Amino acid sequence: MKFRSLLHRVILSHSFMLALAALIMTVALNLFLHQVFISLHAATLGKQAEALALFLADEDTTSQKRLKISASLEDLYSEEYGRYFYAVLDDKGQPVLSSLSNGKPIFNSLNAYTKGSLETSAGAVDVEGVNVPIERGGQIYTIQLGENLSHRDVFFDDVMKVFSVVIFWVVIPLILIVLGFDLLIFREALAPLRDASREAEEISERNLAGRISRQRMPAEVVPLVDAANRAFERLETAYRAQQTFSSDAAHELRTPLAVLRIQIENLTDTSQRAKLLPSVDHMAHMIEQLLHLAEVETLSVAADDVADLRDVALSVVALLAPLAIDRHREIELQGAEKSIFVHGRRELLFRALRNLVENALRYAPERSAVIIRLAQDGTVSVLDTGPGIPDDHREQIFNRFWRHDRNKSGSSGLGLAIVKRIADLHDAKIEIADNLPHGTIASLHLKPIEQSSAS
Amino acid sequence: MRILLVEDNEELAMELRKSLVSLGHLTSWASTIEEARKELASTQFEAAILDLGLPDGDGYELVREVRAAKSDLPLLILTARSTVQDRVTGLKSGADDYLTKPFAMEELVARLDVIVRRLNPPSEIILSLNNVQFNATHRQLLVDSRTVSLPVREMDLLESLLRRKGRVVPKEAIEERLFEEGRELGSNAIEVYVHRLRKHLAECGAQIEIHTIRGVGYCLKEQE
Ligand SMILES: Nc1ncnc2c1ncn2[C@@H]1O[C@H](COP(=O)(O)OP(=O)(O)OP(=O)(O)O)[C@@H](O)[C@H]1O
Ligand SMILES: [Mg+2]
Repeated sequence: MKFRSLLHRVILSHSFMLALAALIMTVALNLFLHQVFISLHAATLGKQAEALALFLADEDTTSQKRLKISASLEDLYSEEYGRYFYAVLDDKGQPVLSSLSNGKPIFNSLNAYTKGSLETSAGAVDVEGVNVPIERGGQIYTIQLGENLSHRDVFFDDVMKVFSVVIFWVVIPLILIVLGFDLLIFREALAPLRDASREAEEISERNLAGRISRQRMPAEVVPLVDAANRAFERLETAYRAQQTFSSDAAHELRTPLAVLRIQIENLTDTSQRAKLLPSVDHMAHMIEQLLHLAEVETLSVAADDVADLRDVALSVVALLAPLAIDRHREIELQGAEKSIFVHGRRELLFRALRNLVENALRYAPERSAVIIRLAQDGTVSVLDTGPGIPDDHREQIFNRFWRHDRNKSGSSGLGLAIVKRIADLHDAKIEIADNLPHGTIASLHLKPIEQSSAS
Repeated sequence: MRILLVEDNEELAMELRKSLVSLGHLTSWASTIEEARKELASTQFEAAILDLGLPDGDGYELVREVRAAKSDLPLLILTARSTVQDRVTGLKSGADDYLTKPFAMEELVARLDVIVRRLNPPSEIILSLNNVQFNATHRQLLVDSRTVSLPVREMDLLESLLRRKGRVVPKEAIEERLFEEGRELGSNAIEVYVHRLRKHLAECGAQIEIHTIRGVGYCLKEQE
């Protein structure tokens, strides 16, 4: 059998155990009560039999001794009343006296306490009773005394019935109370485990330092928690090593690249120089993008980080507009009349927007304008009139190293991966749409912040 | 000018020195912090170019020492580190500028010029671009060495643009320069002056061009 939860298992097995205990308890109590009843009954009837013996009168006849019951008792033992029956047997077991009209013995057995079934004028009757030996005039007789327990005047069975009901009404609520406590205790005991799951849930590549706390943890679970925490520790170390490797590698490449670049710059052959410099710059750009990607992988944005989108856009324009002019393209900024405060980190948003604008400039046709449009709702869009991005590329463009045209100079295919990561850090949506009649609109939907709380 | 170059990569240092020397600068090379200390103690430099990752320590150590000695020697950091954090620490450390590897020699020289000039402003400020020369001290404009006269506001406008030639000059910055604060301006006041200045420049044969960056400002470039 499979259990869904520990709580289930405990409650189920506890219910089962408690029901079993209740059953055993009821049965045992009933048996015990019955035993008590029998001995009480035997004692009462024994006394009654002895009393009966006192009322037996010797009636002398010539040939034989005769026993006779006192007339005052006859009503009590009459078949009409039907509650008590008696018989007196001689030492050979023959009835000498009987309250039954047919003169038969009450019981066939001579056990001290026994049961029997009688034929009376009022019908068949089940009796329980005693055999009591007595001595009278040198003769041993046996007095048989039986009582019909189903008689309306017998209240003992009613007591038994009431008793069973009481047991039922005491035991069942007790079981329920115990189960209720079980539930509470286990819920309480499992609470630290629920907290632990929450803590484990929060551990991600963005929150590597998180651990499961051992406080309040049941001693039995602490080893598991410790083991899990050690595993997280190892993963964190491995992850960080992997992270720093790519950024270390990129860093290590920068100095040799600087040497290469300056060597090329110092070449006297200008045609060689013009050919080689773009290659070195492409490589430098690639390393730069790799480093930026590695860096944004490790950064996070705090809940109270605020940036002015207008300020970000102005910085991007200041950086790229002169380059755009050199390449016969224009940059235009729209919606930047006043500050737009958004949730975010300025330098990260700067990088994201810079990449979007660089893309737009790269694909925009000569003499066209790339528009950066800001909206009060925290959206920044970059519009170009280039070839546009086909629908079936719109997912892939965010993948690392993905380029539509691998030969396009100066392109590394990392720009949009960086943008995507920065957008994720800000819980911002990136949207790629068609510009009309052709071109791309790339938008970043950031969370605006009310002016009052931003100041 | 005398320049101290602190760089542990010998190849890079040699090439860099070659370039600097060819530009007419006396250049001393130190490959460790220790050597750099000795050079600084014995020679009067006008600027220093510092690598950060040196064999016997961090370049910032040197920056702190120089600043602690109350020297305002222009310091340019040249580094392979480029994270956001590095940039912030770099500029806070007391260095004057921060350039990442690999770099264009032209860029390095331009930045070096800026930080050196910041310290010793020349007696006459001469701003020039292509065939245009503007003496900001005497407010004199020369195009192809011929004196050209312009209305005051247009002259001011040209000066603002020339001071930041090749860079974006925000419209607000021009407004501040041209008009006293608090004055109500027509929405296209600056456009009008730019338009007039463009016309005057074209008339006198100035080979410079004022590019409009819509929504932001202007950028002055050489004409192609
Ligand atoms: N505005 C655009 N118009 C047309 N195609 C685009 C545009 N932006 C991106 N793309 C396509 O998406 C690809 C991936 O862009 P991404 O910015 O990630 O890399 P990249 O621009 O090639 O290199 P990097 O940005 O690292 O220099 C581009 O190579 C190009 O094919
Ligand atoms: Mg790109």
